[in-house]
Amino acid sequence: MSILSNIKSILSKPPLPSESTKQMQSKKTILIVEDEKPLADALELKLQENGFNTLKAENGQVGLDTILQKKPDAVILDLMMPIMNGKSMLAKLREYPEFKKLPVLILTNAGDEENIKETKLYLDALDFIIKSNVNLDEIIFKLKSLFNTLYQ
Amino acid sequence: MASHKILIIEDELSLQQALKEKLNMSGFAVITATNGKEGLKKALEEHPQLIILDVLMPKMDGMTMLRELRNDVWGAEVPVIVLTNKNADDEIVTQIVDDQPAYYLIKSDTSLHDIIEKVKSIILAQN
Repeated sequence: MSILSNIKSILSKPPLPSESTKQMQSKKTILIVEDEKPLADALELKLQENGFNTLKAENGQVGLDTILQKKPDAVILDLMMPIMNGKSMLAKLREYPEFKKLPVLILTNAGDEENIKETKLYLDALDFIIKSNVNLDEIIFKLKSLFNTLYQ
Repeated sequence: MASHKILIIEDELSLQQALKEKLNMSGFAVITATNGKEGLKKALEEHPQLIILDVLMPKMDGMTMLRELRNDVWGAEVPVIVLTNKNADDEIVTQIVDDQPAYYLIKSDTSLHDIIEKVKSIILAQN
């Protein structure tokens, strides 16, 4: 069989259902960077219930190290944290070409609008969740629609 | 423990939701509020067996709510678990322990599981 006809036969075949299903179902790993343990636990539980793998970090420094080592598919990042806050972590992360486009979802408190604007503008955060406005189910919904958009 | 009612006063909806689900699973009835003002109203109306109270909240913060609650005859006695971001040596925590008898849990050291266990042990000790 010539190379050309080989390519043609590959192109004419529809993708195997098992392959495409496998790709869609492959578990995405989400890193939760949050210093409030009960909230991190709550996010972890819900994400796992919804078929995600999870990693946790309790401050920006640990978060950054975890990203560099484990390369998660997306990050949920609290802005207000000790040792290294969310904004500093994101600024450092964006210096790595490999992680310029890593999807990051910010968690923050109401009244932090100035910080939000700056982070979104300069650090390419994906979206913001104000802790007092959004419940767990809505966070999961946001993540799922993000992955649908990215991997369609 | 089916009849025991817990009031959660927490403005972070994710945490509020997770605590509610976990407490429901452990057989508690749960009512919720998202600020101190609403929390105080629900506490005085519904007389829960225990209150979980966040410190940092809009409208009325947790400490102001606790002070007002302790002025009430019923509210003076109800067990309160305060959730705080502060350290154990912080002024606000000393204040909780000294002036407003209550339990406190520091958010950076306490798991979701620890909170539920604390609720259970306090309720058990009451009965």
